[in-house]
Amino acid sequence: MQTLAQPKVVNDDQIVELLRSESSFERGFRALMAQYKERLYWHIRRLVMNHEDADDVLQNTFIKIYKGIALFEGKSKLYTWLYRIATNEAISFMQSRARRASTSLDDDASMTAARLQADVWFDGDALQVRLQHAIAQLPDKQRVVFNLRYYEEMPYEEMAGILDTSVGALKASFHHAAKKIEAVFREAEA
Amino acid sequence: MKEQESLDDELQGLSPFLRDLKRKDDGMKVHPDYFDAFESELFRKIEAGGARRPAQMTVVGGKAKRGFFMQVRVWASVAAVMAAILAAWWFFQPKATDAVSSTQMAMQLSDEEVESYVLNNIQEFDTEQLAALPDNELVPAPATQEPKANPTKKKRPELDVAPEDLEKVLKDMSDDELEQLL
Repeated sequence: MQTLAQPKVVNDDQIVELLRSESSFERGFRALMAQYKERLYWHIRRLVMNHEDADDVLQNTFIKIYKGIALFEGKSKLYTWLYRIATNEAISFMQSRARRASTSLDDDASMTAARLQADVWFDGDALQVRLQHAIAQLPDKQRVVFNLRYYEEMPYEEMAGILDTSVGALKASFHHAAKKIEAVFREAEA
Repeated sequence: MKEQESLDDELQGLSPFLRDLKRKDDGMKVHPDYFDAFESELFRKIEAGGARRPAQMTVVGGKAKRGFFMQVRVWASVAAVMAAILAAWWFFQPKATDAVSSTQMAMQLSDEEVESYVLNNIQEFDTEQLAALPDNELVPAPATQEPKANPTKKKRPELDVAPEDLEKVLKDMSDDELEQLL
């Protein structure tokens, strides 16, 4: 939905240009949100699983972007920089949530699946619950790689810019993750 | 859709089960108005938290950053060229000033001062320099002067004596005196 306050800016370069000027900063920031809030929300949501947590993390992400946009040097693409912030925020949130619960990775995965089923904004079937449970058992970075590739279908080259990892390592990570998830399903069936 | 096909191909070989599962709805939903309300909620939170954004971005690369790039790089280049020009001017300027000032200083000196300086530093001058001086600037060589400075004596101005007087003097002199004089 476009309003007068949100000009139709679809180009990252145009957003950066607006953000550079004091007079057009707010317009640029609104354009940035219009462009990325949904993509970042779903990226975060698939990491933290439930909507309430995703909403908190997304807000914190945009506040950090708002405060730290001056630190964006243009050495990477804007969306790469935004994804990096969102990913770090989501991982920090998951780690602090696990510390607060003082649980192991397996326990945390079980709790995550339980939270997911309790989330009113989730209506997936049993197979999807099991898939999310299997994904939740992956180490944090592997989970990020799997989600970016599997759900967002992000090319490995772009992922490499966000995660500062080689394409080869990312491919290997995705393959390992896929195999682990399949193994979880096989164990459940057996 | 090349990437989609690529992912499909990747999953086909890696995990057909995950490929099939991907085609189904993952079950994650969000309120239809959530994203519209998110923006105002975020700004409310920013204002409530007193979050202040820094004054200006510092973008250094890319197409959209060309304005800033031009501002910094071009002005830095101009400043560097100006600094080089000023350094060159500063480097060469003192020599010209010295030459002018030494000429001006020499013009302000009296003849006595010049003569005194030459006498005190006579050994600093070579014969050619002294020979090149005009007659009225010639100075007598000191007693310690080496024989090579003798050519200056040849240019000593002659006595203003009338030929009659000279003839009278020569007549008055004896042969011995004349021989002694020669």
